[in-house]
Amino acid sequence: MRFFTKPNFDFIGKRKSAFLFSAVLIGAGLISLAVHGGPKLSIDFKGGVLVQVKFDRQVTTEEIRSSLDGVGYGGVEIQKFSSGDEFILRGPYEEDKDVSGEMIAGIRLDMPGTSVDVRRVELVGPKIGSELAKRATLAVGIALLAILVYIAWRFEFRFAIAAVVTLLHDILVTLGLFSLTGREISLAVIAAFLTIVGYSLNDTIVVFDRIREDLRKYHRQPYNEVVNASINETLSRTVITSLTTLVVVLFLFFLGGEVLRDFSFALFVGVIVGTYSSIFVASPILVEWNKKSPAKRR
Amino acid sequence: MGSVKWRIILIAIVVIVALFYLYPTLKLVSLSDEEKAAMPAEEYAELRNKSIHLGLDLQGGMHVVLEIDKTAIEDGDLDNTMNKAETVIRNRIDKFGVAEPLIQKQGNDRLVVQLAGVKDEQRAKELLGRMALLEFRLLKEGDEFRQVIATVDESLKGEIREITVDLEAEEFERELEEAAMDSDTTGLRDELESEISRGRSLLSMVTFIPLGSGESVHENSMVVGKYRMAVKEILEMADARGLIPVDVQVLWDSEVRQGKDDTFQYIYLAERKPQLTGKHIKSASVSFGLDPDYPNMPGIRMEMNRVGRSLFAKATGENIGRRLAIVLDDNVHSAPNIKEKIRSATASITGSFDADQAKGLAVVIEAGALPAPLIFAEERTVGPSLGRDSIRSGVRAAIIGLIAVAVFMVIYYQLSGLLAILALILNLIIVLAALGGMRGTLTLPGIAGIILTIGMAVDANVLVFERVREELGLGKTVRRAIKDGYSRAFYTILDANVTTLIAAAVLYQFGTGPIRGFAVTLSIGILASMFTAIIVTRTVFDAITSVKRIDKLSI
Repeated sequence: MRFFTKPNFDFIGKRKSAFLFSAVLIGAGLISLAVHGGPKLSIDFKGGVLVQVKFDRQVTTEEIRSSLDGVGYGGVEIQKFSSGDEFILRGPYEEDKDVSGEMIAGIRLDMPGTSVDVRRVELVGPKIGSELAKRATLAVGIALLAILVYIAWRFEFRFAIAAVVTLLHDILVTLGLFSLTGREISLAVIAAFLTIVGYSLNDTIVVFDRIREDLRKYHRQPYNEVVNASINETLSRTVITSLTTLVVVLFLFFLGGEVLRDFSFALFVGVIVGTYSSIFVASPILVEWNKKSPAKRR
Repeated sequence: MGSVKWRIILIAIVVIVALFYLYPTLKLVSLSDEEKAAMPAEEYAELRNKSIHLGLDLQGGMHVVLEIDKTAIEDGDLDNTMNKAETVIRNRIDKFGVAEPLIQKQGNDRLVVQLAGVKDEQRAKELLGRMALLEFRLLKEGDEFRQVIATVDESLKGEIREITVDLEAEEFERELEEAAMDSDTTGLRDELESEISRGRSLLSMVTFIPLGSGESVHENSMVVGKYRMAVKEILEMADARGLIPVDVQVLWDSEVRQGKDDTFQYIYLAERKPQLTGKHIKSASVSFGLDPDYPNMPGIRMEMNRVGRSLFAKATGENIGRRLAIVLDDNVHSAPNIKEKIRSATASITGSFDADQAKGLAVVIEAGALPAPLIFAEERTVGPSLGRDSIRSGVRAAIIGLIAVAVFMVIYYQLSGLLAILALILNLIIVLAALGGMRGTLTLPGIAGIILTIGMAVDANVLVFERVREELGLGKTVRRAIKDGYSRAFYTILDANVTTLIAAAVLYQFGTGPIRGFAVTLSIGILASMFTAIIVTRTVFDAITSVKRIDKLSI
């Protein structure tokens, strides 16, 4: 079975439309980020208290709010699971108060007949939160730098720059989509970002590798034609790998449970964006670069 | 690429070693609870030790970062205080009985504590966070207390008025409502209004009640419910604290009690210098009937050591007629009257706690007080039920993902696809075996890493298969196409995977707990997929083509 037999799509010719599409996507994300005053950070980074509780019956958000009101936490964010018996409560961090304990006590006190299973408690002080934020930013930065160096060594400097620009593109698009869909950036999501970096790069490098090979093989052909041919030659592989990865990520998203939902959402978006960008962003950057300053070819 | 024979031997060794390391985990999973119980404890512990460890997020447990309150210690004393705090916490956890706790210093002012399988998060938190500073302190009563209050009243008139004016206004409304029912209120209104503008004095909000009779007359002091918050607010003002003599301190009772019309709470003036402290307690245990009025209420019975005994005898002997308060973390639990010199070696704490809380309290008292308060800087607790759910959903997603990918591969690449599935399964075995062999910890993100590897691991095979197809398309023989396909794909696979490994390494370096688990499984998965795709499938192809000539490859 084959999806493509000798494909010959004109990817490079459509690069202007692709750039425009990317620009719109990133622009929309940036506007959303600007409107919301930056990405929506989870308690991992801004500090706070999270409590996940499960009841033995259906409970309404109002019921919980009124029990929390009794202990002075009526204003906290309450998120209801689709199952209807499970909730996540997000409250403020207070150094000298056991916020999670008081919220749980308030609910237990107010619903004496209902069993309350405390499934998860997370508490992050503002100091640890800002430390984690610093570390996460540093991690993404260092990963990009290390990759830049590796590709510059294995390929050429312009390939490295194109790859890193592509990665930035992927991160920006995903970040924007997180903002547009109102999802939180947590530690797990940062891990997903770094995985996207790895995955998207994987895709990009497979194409670059072929470009490198073909540039040597067909050194009389025009640069953009060689690049376009390379993308076509690797197209089957790009699509198949994306498909298999996408399938497992989808299962992870739907079956992996609530804790992993944002994480798998980031991966899902990342795989699609990563595949798109290795075809429509990374290689066209090489072509544009070559127009400005043609590479020496043997 | 060595000869086929050597490669088969290498693969066999890898498989055997992998199965060897995976065996304990498989055995542990296959055992039923009864079989586990029937096993000798040592054997079971070893089996567990050799199996894949589950992270706190999967088995349930508590991860806490405690930070020492540096404002409460003197400069240069940080190391010493930290060491003491660590010992105390270790003591408490040992006494409480948690299996395999992990207590570690982080930086110079933090302690990381990991407790697996904790069922009651609240109790565990009290165990870690409670200062448990136990002191026996003499009380000052009557005029001495009034004097202190009067000084505060005098110096802080304006502030006190501000705090109490609202309170008065509320009360005024209530009185007016009541009065309105039976008489004309205009005169009363004027009278009350002038009272409101004056506010209330601190002294008027504290009630003194004589206690006992004859020679040992004492005075209990208390604040009724409606004034409690105002009194607390006034006494907590920095200015007020400055007005109270340094050798004494205002303390509250540990309980708010129910009176006839309103609640009330006792308030005390105690000497700052304790007569003896928790250091002088040899043991503490839960006991019932310590308070004769409530025989069914649990309390804590404490036994003093030798030094404690002589200090106690001295303190009681020299202060007959005064009251000695038992103070825990600045809350007064009881304040008995000293009737005679006491030589016995026991004391008790009573209060409104249940048996579990009493046990926790006994543990912290016996283990000693923290040298300074510890702040909960970070906490991540997962209940056992969520852990179980996470494992179930993770494993389900992995199995279904694996099946879906396998079906696709067979349809797309036919017999070669079958080979890719073989590689995929071997890949999974290697990842899990490596986790077991390295004593690694499997976390929820770790499971996600494995699932992701399933999707990405076929990539190396896809790269090879696509290349082989291309070579076949050029009209090469099957053997030639396989040889060229593999050698051309090799560097692509290498470059593509090294970059993902770089990302994973950075993640490991900067990540914490669960995230590290993800980085580990992802890295092992990638390495394993390179091994299976480059060596294992290749060897199978070579083995087949060397045995018989194949004209058409099922790919």
